[in-house]
Amino acid sequence: MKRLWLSLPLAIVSLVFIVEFSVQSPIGIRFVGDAQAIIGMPWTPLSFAGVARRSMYRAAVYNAAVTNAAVANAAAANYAYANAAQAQAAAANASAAQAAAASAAAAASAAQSAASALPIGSTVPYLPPNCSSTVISGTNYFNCNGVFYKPGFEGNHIVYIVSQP
Amino acid sequence: MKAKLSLVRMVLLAAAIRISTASPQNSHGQPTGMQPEAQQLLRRMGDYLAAQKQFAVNTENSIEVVLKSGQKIQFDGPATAVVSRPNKMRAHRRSDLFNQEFIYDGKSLTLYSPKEKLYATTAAPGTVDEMLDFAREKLDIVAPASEFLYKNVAEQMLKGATSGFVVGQSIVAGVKCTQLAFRSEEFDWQVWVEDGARPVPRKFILTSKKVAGEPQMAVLMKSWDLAPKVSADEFSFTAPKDAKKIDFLLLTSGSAKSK
Repeated sequence: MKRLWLSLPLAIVSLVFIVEFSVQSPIGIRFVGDAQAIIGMPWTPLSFAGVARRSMYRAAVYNAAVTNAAVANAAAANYAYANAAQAQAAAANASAAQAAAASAAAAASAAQSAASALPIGSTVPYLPPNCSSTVISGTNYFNCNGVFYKPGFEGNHIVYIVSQP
Repeated sequence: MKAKLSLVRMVLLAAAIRISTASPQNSHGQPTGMQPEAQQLLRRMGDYLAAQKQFAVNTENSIEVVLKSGQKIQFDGPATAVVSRPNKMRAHRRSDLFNQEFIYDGKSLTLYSPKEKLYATTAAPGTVDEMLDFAREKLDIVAPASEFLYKNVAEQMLKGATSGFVVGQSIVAGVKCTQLAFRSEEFDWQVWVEDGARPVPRKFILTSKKVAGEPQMAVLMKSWDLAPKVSADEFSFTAPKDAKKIDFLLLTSGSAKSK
């Protein structure tokens, strides 16, 4: 947790790289960081043959994260995800790796709930704890301590958008 | 010290492998450039797959990620795909970090995450090929093993290839195969094609040469069923009672509208 917050400035500074270097892998791991950080694979079907490579993802993925607060928040959560991978690397067996991933995810959620007043339109990869599902005007939301998150697929990933239902 | 020694050995081994495969004039004696036999076998595979009206394939997929330290970590997961040409498909991916179903009935496409119990459905084009393009370009969604589901798969794969050759015979997933290796500017890729009357792909490896650490993704096609028993509702999605409908954000967000 401490490490997560220490790394926040780095995450913010590296914002400019996020759009450029975040990549989506076929199995849906998303690692984000600076230019030296974890790198997945810029792979889509037949992308190696030059078919419509990476165009959509790069253009749209961080569209919703418009403000610094939102981006820092998303970046923190993503950074925790990256830490999960590192923890997984260190873990000697599968169950330890899963536990590490789970705790990193929890850290990400905690980071989110710690960030106060998320702007409407922010996109986060995890929900904070203690959310309840609710339907408002036919749309599904999660109510997390009065903050409403609207889930959606961004590519193969589920993300949550801070919303005003 | 021991670790250092073994590292040195690994590097030497890697160098040796590199030399033996990268050099066009190695013990296999294959020519430089595109070897016609390699292209022919890939096309034979592509034509054979395209001629299958229905098939099911079980795969084991792995992908490497490169950590900041340079260490590579591999993530694994099985996937299944059932295709009924021209316009139906169902696939399920269960990886270390990912569990997702992909259902296409010729009219609509649904992506369902059983763990979160969330799904999204959208109208989709009328053939598997068009749907895969639509999913990739408009939704940024990648279907499991979809690189082999296109009808013109060999032509698409060869489009960017600068060289290719037949590596030789191999046994993959318990069956005799012929290994092919191709290069393009950014990627090296290999395909193992089953020998005999049923030239289906059995393994596919893609190496990203321009990415630090040159990570690979691999698909092992464990089993092919070319006459799968398909039930009437195989390709239609009925939402489980407690599942909730959500959006494909790229279809509803401003950026998608402006495209």
